[in-house]
Amino acid sequence: MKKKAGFIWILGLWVAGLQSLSAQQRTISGLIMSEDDGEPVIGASVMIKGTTVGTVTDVDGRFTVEAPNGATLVISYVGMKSLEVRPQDNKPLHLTMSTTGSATAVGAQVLEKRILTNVTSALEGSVSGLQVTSGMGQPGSTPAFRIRGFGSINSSTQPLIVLDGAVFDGDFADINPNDIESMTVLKDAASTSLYGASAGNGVILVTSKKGKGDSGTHSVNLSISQGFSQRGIPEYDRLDVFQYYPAQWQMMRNNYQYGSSKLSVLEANQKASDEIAAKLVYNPFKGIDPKEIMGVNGLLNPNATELLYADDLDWEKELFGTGYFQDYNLSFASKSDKSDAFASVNYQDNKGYALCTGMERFTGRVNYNIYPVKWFKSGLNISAAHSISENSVADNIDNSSAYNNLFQYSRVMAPIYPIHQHDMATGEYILDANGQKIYDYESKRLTFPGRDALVETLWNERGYERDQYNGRAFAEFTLLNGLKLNLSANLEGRNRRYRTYENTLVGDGKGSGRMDIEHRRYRTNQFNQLLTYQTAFGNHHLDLLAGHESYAYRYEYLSGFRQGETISGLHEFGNFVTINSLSSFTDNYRKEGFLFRANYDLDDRYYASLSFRHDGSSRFYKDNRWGNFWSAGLSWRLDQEDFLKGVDWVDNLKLRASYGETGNDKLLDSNSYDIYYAWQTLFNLTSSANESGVYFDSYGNKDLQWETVVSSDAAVEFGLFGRLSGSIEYYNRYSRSLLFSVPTATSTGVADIYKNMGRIDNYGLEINLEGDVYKDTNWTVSIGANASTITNRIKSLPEGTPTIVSGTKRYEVGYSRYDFWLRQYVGVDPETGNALYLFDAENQIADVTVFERDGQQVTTTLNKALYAYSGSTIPKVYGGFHTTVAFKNLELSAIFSYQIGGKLLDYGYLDLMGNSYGYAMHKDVLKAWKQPGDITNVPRLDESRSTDFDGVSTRWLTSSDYLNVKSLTLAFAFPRSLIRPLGFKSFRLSLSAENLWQFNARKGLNAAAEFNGIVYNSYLPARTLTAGLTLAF
Amino acid sequence: MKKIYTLALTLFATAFTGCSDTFLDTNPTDQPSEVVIYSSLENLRLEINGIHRRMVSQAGSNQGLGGEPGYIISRETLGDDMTWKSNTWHQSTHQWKAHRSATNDVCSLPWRYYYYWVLGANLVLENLPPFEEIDPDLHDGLKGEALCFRAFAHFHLVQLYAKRFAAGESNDNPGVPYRLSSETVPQARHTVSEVYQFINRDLDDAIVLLQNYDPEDAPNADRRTHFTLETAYALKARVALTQQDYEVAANTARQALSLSKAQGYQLMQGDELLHGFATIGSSTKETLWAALTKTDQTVYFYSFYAYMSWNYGSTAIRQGVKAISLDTYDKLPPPTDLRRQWWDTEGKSDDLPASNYAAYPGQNRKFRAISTGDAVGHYPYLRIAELYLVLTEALVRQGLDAEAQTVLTEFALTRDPEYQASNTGDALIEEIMNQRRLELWGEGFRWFDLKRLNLPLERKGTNFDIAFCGLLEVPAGDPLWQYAIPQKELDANPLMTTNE
Repeated sequence: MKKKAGFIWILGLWVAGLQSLSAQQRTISGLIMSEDDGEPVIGASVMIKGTTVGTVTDVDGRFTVEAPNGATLVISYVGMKSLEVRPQDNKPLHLTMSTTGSATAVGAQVLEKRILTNVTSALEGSVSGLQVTSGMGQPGSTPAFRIRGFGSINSSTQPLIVLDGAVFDGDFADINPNDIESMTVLKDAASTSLYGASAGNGVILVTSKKGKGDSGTHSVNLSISQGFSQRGIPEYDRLDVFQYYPAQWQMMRNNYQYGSSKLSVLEANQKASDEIAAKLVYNPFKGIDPKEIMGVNGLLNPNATELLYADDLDWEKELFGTGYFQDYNLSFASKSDKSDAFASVNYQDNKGYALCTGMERFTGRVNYNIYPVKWFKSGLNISAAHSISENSVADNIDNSSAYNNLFQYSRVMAPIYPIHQHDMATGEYILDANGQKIYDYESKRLTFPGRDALVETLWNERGYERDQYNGRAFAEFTLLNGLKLNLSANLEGRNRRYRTYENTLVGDGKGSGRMDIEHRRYRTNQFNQLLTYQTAFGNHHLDLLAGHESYAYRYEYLSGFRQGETISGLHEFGNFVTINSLSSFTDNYRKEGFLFRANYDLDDRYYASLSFRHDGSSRFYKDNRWGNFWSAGLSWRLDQEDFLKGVDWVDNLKLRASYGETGNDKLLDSNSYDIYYAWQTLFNLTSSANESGVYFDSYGNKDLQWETVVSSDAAVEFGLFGRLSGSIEYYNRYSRSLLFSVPTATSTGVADIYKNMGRIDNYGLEINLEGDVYKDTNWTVSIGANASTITNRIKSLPEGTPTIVSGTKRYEVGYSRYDFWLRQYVGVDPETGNALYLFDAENQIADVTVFERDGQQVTTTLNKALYAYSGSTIPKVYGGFHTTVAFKNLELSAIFSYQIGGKLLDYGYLDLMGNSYGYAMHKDVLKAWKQPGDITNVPRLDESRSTDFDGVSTRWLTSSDYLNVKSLTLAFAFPRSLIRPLGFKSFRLSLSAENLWQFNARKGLNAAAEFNGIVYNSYLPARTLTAGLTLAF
Repeated sequence: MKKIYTLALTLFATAFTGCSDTFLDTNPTDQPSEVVIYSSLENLRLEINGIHRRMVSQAGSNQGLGGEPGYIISRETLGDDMTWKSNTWHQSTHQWKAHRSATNDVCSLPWRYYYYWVLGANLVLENLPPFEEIDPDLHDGLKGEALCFRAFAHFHLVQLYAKRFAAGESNDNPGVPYRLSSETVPQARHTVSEVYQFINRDLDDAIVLLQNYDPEDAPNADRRTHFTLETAYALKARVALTQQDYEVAANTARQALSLSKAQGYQLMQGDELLHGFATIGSSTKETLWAALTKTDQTVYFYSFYAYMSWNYGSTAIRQGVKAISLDTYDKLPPPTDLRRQWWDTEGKSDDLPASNYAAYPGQNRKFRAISTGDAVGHYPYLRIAELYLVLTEALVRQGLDAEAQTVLTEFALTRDPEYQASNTGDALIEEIMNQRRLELWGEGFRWFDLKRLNLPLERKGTNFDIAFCGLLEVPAGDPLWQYAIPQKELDANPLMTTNE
């Protein structure tokens, strides 16, 4: 903010005038900082409310003003939100101002209290218009974000992350949360347009800390946190060992009666009783003959009360425990007239609650700025991180159905199978030569036979080491009064080496042992040149900017994979005999942009801004790679108008609106990997026997160009009664010329071709409210809440494909991007227990499985079932609320997040309701149809009908409503009087709990996991409880 | 002040990185573009090689369906000659469910990838003309190979997704779209009759074009990973047999056979028969066309040998080794037939690689992975044995019993050194069909044979467990004999129609 010229200050002095009032005056002094960049705000107007008396802040952002007791100060500055304060005593004020436009920030004050492993988790529930997933519990994972809906179908919908002014391609897990000053979410056209054409999905602005405060301040800050984590979402309700056999018996006897054997009731019962134990392989009951476990009446043998290995059935306990967390942070800050400095070092060790997972991280940062003369300013901000991670197979949704995914494995493990080998007569553990228990991975149990997620996790290696570095340097020259040139360069890089070893005894490496080492190297270079000019004439203020920026991203990949382990325990390539694969490639992605912006205000009342960008991307063919984007914004501060000046209870009232365009070039493939060369028809390299070869990859399209996002919004911001503030905003974002993966008939040989086609709209309302409910000298109770709505509508689709089915969704004009398109489950036929579906008379040929029921044609064949729209994954309303109760130095705060009105497909539940021998079952199978006349929603258990009964249909739709108790923090700051004599500036203790509980539709479900409404088997979020101590001197 | 300007502007100018014309030109480092591939015959040949290689691949991300060998497993599991127990890989196909479910991979992946090979072939065909004069032999050879691919892929598609070709009937029921160009426009189904006309036209053209083509003219090439004159004739013979055109089948099989012999191919005999197939390209001279997969071309658990061998350490094999129907095994000729050792009807466990392998009556010993930890292996798409069997069947079905006996004897002596032909008429037909079932067990022929001959499915072996395999009988001509048209095709192709 120092770029605001000094002469505005002088101008401001003149504007403010120097009138004085005779009352009980006192001197109020203060410092105004910008929340955006932590810099002093120069030339901000500080007025005594209801008068024309006031001053402006000086070059250090300081001000002094004489004001009557009880007066309210109104602080305003062009492009920033006005502040109102009523000073309570004579202490100097420290205030921060934030930018106008649709920006919502999470600042250091909030961040400091919560103990976070990943700074971005602070955004959940805190910002209207921002949807955040729960993220995974794998230490080092980062949640996903969407701002104002889903503006694309086949391109990325992730917001742009800007760290200290440059696009950030790295991983937030490697950013020390203690280094972050603020996070700001930019949503509207006016505020996002400055951040490049790629800002179509909104921008999350992250600013790191710098040395600040009074000149001559030097401080040291030490914080130490220790905590625990555990599985944050419980397991689904499953049948226990005694309930399990009868349910599996039923599945078998129904197979014999209703399947192709067509046995009589009695025969089926008898056969099932005879065979079920052999089928399930394990008889966990002590003293019971396998053929006697199940009576022909379908009941468990009443004598089967004692288990052979009752203490060895708790897989969950074996796989998930308590993770230990520790974090040590030391930071230094200093500030002088001509420089400021901030430095930090951090060590964090975050053990996951799941077996063999965790991340250890070392980070350091130095941010040094110098301004030795008035016309020159420069700075350097360098950070580096090194992390070592042990990962679970469940750290990635691609591994959702991997056999060694712990979460899936423990969920579907039938309750009759023990972890270790036992003497099946006595139940005794079988011990090896060293007297150790032996894992039962070679057993013939039916749950993922031949696999053992527990043993594989213990004996395999899976993890990475990563280095991340980031350096930013800038130089700023004041060429003339008001004319400045700012040059900056940013270099960011990451090196990651993944190692995966699979043992020789169980799992994919069985028999040979496999070793995969993958090296990934990323580098981003960015250069910016900005020329700014500020001027004023009369009541008119003008701020002009012209700039050029370039962005170059390079990704190098190298991977080797060998098998045939020679000597146990040596995990390097030389120890593996056969090369399975060896590959490498490099991707280059570049962008360049020219930008222009003008901000204007009249009399601090009427504001206007106009911007234009010209951006090029290497993702498009040279004739089509440049796009033009512009935006305009207007705002009006009604509270500055005479007709409101007398209205006491209105502290602040502002209207604003903006309209503008941004772009999106981030084309993704079906696995969400970037496509950088979609304009070219490409082939892949291969070999055939000893010859080289190529095979067709994809058709290129030279006509591809930027997808354009057109945003408009209008908002009212208000501050009322001195204690309530908020905003109500309507937004409409639509994306046209979508970068669309247009499906082709697969009989053409290609599945899709990229084209610019179609349009998708997002519109909705965002409401923010913040209020001090109660306030006295000792107590403060404040509450804040936000709520947002999204309506997502496809407005046009590529010609020739009026409907596009994508997995469980279908795209069609008038529907959303996330509308389920599913087979229609009707219920259970009370006569037969069959699952009934609506019959698809248009596309399917009727047979004996099709008949009429209650006036509609139904079928028992899944394949003949009707597909139809079945609701949307997008919630109707989402948001968060928070409350803080402070008593003297003790403060309790809580943050909640919620969503209402969406649906999801609960595959976890489906897995447990499925008809498979030897897999765990959900308690709801107890409600299954048993005999004619039963009215239920659960079809008969019948293994022979698993395809028809268990198939994906509307049967598995579940509400995605949730209420997350996201964070609960208790903080205590020792009174200064107590710690000053000890030489401390501050001393704080805090207790912080994250992801405390999620209330949702079904036990076991994580309703906040994904935007697409699919429940995967992934590393469920961790509930953490941490105690922290912060000490400054 | 002037100094500031100079300094600032110098920096400004130097910092203007990105302004060069080529800054935004980036290219992939591991993917050649069409410009490169279509620029020479040598590069077009690369694409032919690529399609051969992609016949074994992980494309489609279903490890039970690793390209053609995976589709072969699907077809075999639909038949009446093979079963297993307990392990659920391919079980829903064995139960005749998966291939009838329009969203199932078993149904959608063969469709997707046969057409993908057709596209590759069409791209080659469309870009060959400029080089016709430059190297006519290579040009014709590549064109012939591309036509063989196109015919082969459509031949499999029409057998899977349409009703059988019935000789002497109109066959005007829906077949599959026969794609003659790379254009990505939706296309309606040709009739079964039309599809076979196109297949024959492509193969006939290929036979002309491949006359002077020797793929081994290129460095490192092996003719068995290419289409050649002998394989084109062999394909033509398969097609004719399927169309019950026994005269053409016999003539073309005879041609293929004599060309193959001239190339040095010979029937396996003696210990060669027990080599385990994974090294068929190096251990025998039996295969005319094969995937000669090398270790660094592995498809891991997508490999044929990860499901069909008896020794590889995959769960699918340890829990559910593939077994011959005991009824089929009983059709084997006398104990002197060496192929008896391809199966173990007793289900002995003494020679299993480890204690956690489950034995099963009828368990196969025919396919052996090169080790318990390595599923990489050769896969033969065309063996000389098949040519003998096609020829002898085509002859006997024309009533030429004596000729058929001669051919059969030549073949059978390599399997049973004491073989003597004795049957004639229907008995000879049955004998030949039994030879086919046994010789080609596990190689994806039986289901096509049942379909072309309009026979019912009858799983008679006592080792079929109905609780596992779902059904034992399907009447001839039932709608279940057609794969469902994939949902993805129906969604994107307004001209497509479903199957019954």
